[in-house]
Amino acid sequence: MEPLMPPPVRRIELDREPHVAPAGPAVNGAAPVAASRARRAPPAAAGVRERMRAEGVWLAYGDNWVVRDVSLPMRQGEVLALIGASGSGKTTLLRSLNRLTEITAGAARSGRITLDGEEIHELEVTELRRRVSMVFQQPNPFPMSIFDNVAYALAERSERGARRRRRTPEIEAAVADALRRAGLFEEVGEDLDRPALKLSGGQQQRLCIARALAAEPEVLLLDEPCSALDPISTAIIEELIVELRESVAVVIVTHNLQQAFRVADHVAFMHLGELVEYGSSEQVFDRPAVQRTRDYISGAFG
Amino acid sequence: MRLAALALAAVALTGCETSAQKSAKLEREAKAHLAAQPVQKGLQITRRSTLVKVLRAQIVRGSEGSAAVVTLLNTSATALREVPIELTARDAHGATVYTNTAPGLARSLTSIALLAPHSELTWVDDQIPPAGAPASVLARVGQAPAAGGPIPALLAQGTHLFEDPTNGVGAEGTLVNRSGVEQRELIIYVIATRGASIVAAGRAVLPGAAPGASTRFQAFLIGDPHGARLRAAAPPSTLR
Repeated sequence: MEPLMPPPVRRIELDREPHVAPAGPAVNGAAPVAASRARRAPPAAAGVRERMRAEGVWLAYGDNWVVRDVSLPMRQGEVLALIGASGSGKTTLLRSLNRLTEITAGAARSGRITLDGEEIHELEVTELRRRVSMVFQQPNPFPMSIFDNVAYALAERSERGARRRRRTPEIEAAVADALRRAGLFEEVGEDLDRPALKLSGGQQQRLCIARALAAEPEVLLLDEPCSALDPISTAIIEELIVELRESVAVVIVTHNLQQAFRVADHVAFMHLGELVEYGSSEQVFDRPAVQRTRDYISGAFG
Repeated sequence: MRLAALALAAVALTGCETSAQKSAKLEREAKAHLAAQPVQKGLQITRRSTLVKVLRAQIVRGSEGSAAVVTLLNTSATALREVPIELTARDAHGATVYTNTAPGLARSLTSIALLAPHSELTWVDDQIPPAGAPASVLARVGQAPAAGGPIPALLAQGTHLFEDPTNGVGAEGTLVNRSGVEQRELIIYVIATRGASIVAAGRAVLPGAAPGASTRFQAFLIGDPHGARLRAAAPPSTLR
C-alpha cells in the first residue's frame, strides 16, 4: 500500500505526555467513571518495555482520512485503551497495527508503525499477525475440540494452506500453557477433547485469547472483547487482561469508559480521527487536560 | 491430597480467589441453576412447509471443521419469518452424526429469521460438533408464519477475505441498515463459491445494527475460500 500523504508535521511528545494536567480535583462528570470501581494494581515500572510504536500515522479509506497524525507507544507491561465515540478512528487504528486495514479497498496509510523497531510493512504479513495477534468482538471458536482450537495456532501449514494438526508432547504442553495463561485450564483441563462450542460465551472468548496467546505474540489487540458478554464474564476477562500485560503489550478498543478505567494503564482518547489526549488512566479520567476529553468522559457526547 | 486440602484452606484463609477459580465456581452454580429448570424442548417439525423448497444442502469441510450449507427458495409471494429448519448430518456410511434438534441451541441454528417472497437464501450452520465426519446433510423446512408489514432493507457489502494465523480465514464486510428499524442479533451468512460449488461458508453475528448505520462484520469461514467469489446475505432479524 503506497502512502498517499507526505509525513505529517504535528508530532506528539510521547515521553513527556504533554497533556498531563497538574494534580487537582476531578472534573465535573469525570468522577462517576473513576469512582465507580477501583482500578487494578499499577504495572511494575521495571517490567515495562516498548514493543510497538505508531508515529505520525494517517489512515484513509478512499478520500476519507479516518486517522490523522496519531503517535502512540504500546508497551509490554501496560494496557493501552483506545477510547472515543463511534467514527473516532480507534478501531481503524487498532486494525492498522496488524495490517488488517489494508484488506479494505481504497485503504491507505502514511507514517510509521514499528514492531520492536521494525516497520510493520517490511514484515511478512502472516508473521506480523502471529506477533501482533487480534481477538475480535464476537468469540469465534472453531467447531472442534478445545485442544484443537488452541493447537490450530500451532499447526503446520501445507502448501495449499491446509493445516496439519499433530498431538505431540510439545504441542500438548504449549496448548496447556496457553490455556493457563488465558485462565481457562483450571476449568477445562480435565477434558480438552470437549467441543469448544459447549463452552459459555465468556469461556469461548478466553479460548480465543488462549489461541491468540499460543502463537506467542508480542502484542495482543482486543477489539471490544467483552461487548458480547455478560457482566460476570466481562469481569473475568478484565482481570485476565490485567494479568496478561506482564507478558504482552495489550491494546484494547472499548466503548465502555468504566472498563477502560478499570483495565488500562494508559488511555488514548480519539475524536474524528485525531488523538485528542493521551496519558495515564488516572490523568485522563481524573484530570483531563483537554475540554473535548472532559466532555466525552462526562457523557456530553458519544 | 493433604497438600491440596492445605492449599485450599490457605486460599480460603487468605480470601484470595483467582479469576479461573471464580469462573469455575460460577460455572458450577450455573449448572446447578440449569439443572433446576424445567426440561427444554428441541426443534420439532410437525408440518413441512409447502412454500419453501430446499434447493441444495451440503457439507463444507476445512481445517476448521465442518459446516452445513442449505440453499432455500421461498416460492410464495409472502415473506416468512422464523422459518424452522431441521438438519440431519450423516457420515459416509449413512450414520447420523449430528442433528440440530437438541434442546438449548440458539434460535439462529434452528430457524431462519426471514425469507423474502420469491427469493433464495443460503443458510449456514457453522457449529456442527467435531464428533464424526459429516459427509452429507438432509434439510427439512417447517411451516412458518407470514411476516406482515414492510421488510427492513439491509445490505451486506464490500465483503473481502482476511487471514491470520490464529483466527484462520475470515470474510469481512459492512452491513448497511437502510431501514428505520434497529436490528438485534442479526446473522449474516457468507458463502464462497467457485463455479457452481460452494467451497467455504461461515456466519457473522451482529448484536445490533442501528437504523441508517453501517456496521463492520467478520464471518470466520470453514473451507477454502481462496480464489472464490464471496456472497453475503443478512435476512432482517427485527421487523418493527
